Amino acid sequence: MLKVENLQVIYDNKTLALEDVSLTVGEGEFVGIIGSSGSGKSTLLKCINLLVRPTKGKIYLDHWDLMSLSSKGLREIRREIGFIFQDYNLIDRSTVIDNVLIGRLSYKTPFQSLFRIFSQDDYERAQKALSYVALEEKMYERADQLSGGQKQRVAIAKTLCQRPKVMLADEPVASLDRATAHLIMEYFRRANMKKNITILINLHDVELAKKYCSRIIGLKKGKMVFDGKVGDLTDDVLKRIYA
Amino acid sequence: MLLIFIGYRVEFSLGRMLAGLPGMADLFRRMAHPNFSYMGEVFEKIAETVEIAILSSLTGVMLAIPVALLTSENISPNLYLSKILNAVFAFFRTIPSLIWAAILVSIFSIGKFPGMIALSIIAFLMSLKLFREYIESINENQLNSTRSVGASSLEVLRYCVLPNMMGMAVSVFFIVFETNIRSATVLGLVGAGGIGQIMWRDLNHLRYDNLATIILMLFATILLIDALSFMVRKFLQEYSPKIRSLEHYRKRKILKSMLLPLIFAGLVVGIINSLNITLERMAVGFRQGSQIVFRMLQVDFSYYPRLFEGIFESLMIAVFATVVGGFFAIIFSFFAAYNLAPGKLVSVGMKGLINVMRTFPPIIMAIIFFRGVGPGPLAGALALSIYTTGVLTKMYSEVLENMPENVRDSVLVTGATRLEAYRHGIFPQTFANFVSLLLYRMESNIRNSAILGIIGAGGIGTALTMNINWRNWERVGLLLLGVSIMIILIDRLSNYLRHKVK
Ligand SMILES: Nc1ncnc2c1ncn2[C@@H]1O[C@H](COP(=O)(O)OP(=O)(O)OP(=O)(O)O)[C@@H](O)[C@H]1O
Ligand SMILES: [Mg+2]
Repeated sequence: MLKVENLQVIYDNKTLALEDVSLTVGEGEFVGIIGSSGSGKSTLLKCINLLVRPTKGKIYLDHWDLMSLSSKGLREIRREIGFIFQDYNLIDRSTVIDNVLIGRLSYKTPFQSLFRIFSQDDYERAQKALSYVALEEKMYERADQLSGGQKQRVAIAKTLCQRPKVMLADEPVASLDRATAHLIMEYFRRANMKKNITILINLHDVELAKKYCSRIIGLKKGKMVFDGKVGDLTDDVLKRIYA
Repeated sequence: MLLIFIGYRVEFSLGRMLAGLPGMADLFRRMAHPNFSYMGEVFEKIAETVEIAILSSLTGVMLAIPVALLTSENISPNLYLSKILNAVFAFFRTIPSLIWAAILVSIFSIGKFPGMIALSIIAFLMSLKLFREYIESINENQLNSTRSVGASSLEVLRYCVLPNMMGMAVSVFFIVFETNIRSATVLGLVGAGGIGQIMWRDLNHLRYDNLATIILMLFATILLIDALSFMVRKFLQEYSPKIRSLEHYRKRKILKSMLLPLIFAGLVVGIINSLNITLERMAVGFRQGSQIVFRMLQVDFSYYPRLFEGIFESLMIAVFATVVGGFFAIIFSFFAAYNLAPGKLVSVGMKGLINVMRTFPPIIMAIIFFRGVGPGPLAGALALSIYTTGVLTKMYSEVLENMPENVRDSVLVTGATRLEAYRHGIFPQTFANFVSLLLYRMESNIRNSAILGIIGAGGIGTALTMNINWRNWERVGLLLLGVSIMIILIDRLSNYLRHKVK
């Protein structure tokens, strides 16, 4: 369903961040992307929803060619692709539920969104998404009063509200402690199993990747050096990726 | 050495100060009998002053929000446009409010309207700077995270940037308002409405009893407003409504998003009405304004000797006030900080004193000094010194109060007295903070000293008002340019030094 062909990204005409990366991801896969710092993991994810525009290559989601979409088409396709950041990026002064409602924006007409008209249905979906991550009782609290793990759960709820086909997560647990990291990873697993959402996740912790992902992609200096099942991720391969 | 030189430049003379003492004492004696029957008229004028300050702050903040969205470089629709606009605004920001008022009075004639506009400009520029700094501090990922749900750039503004800005707008309003209420009291000196008008009149008619009434009431008003603004801010910070159900929350939100634009529109209509702007007056004003701007642009460079003379004097006044203020602030802070002062009562008393010192705009203080030392740079320098002492003591004593307990105790356990601990341990430790505060004061003093001349207290302001009154716009153009360059240079220098001490 997701297909990336010969992707190349050069920042500011000098930094080569990705070179000739191609991959195909089927529906319902749980893909972990690993690689050392600066290897291009974030860049790859950001390309998939065009937060970064590749200098070369093609990206397809189902039958859409993302690079050829108008800005309106792009906004519509971004609705199908949820994105989760390491640093949560909630709106601090807004309440938790208002943050989650942002996930419903792409279903609104410009008039509705300008005047902030969300229907009862939107609210109920937001509430349901929050109960999915077990944060219903924090609904009316300000986002800046939550802990890191709670913030990330709100971000997941917001993304679920989009009803995406794919979720991209850029090191979502890198600033959390181990127990919380596992809790968050469990939410991804459940979204993957129960809602059949395809997941691409950047992880710097290989153990986590081995535990939760079914397929691993290894990047090194912008090139793809490994693509295979978790079982094939031997120590030799790891040495090659991180050396 | 330096101090002696500067003292000489501002015509400092202990003799004159001592000789002036009986005059000042006499002034205070006469002021000790305020004319209470005068209170009615004063009250009316104070109300007008407060009105000007509130309306102009509101106008400025409301205008600044959309402009900040346009000019912040990380979200601006056009980078070049925002760079140009920001440079223009930076230039405007160096022009003190009283100068704006003086120029606007010659465009719109005497009354509160030019004062309103002048303070609105100041409020706009101040809040624009605060908003812009905030928006530019939003990191790219925060914007990206809203973009990645499929939001358009308008929706990113509405849902990602605006919510935080609205919360901020309240505190920005109060910061601007507290500045404007002080500026509004002196607008009358150039004929731009408010209490300053009758203050100036009473001063010229030597009605010190009336003056005492005004100053007392003004003091009370400013204290009241500071207290009120503190309370409102605290209330808003802690306010959190009880939500019963999702439905209830949704209705509240809808109500809020309908109400806010309505309040906004109501305010705009209210402000416009209160000014009774007529199209005619605007048209005349606009015609005159554009003529004046056109003439200012034809800068008269041959006037430079007076410019340098004035700027030099202003600079000297500012440096004098900063040095003197800094010296006294070091001493006073020890007594004002409750964790260092020899007694609770001393600290409270000291805090009261510095509050009096910093409540009055220096330009009013200078008027009082006229009585003692006569008009001229000395009056201005002394007035500004008092103000600087007040503000700096307040800020630095707060630094001392926020210092961790163990810093103080680690010196005290060596057996040192509190004063020794301050002198040898605490002051050196917080020296960088002190210098940084001092430099901020220098920046503010240079702006203040530029307007002291309006009432004849020395510096570039004298030349500025004279030429504004005589409608020598080409010369005004040169003076403004000079003031602006001086202020920008000082700001740069102080910024550089601040980074150095850190
Ligand atoms: N916005 C940008 N502008 C310029 N260069 C960039 C930008 N973002 C990333 N780079 C460069 O591109 C390369 C790949 O960066 P990327 O962030 O994709 O790596 P990463 O694998 O996510 O690293 P990390 O594990 O540290 O997050 C790096 O050399 C980085 O310096
Ligand atoms: Mg990264």
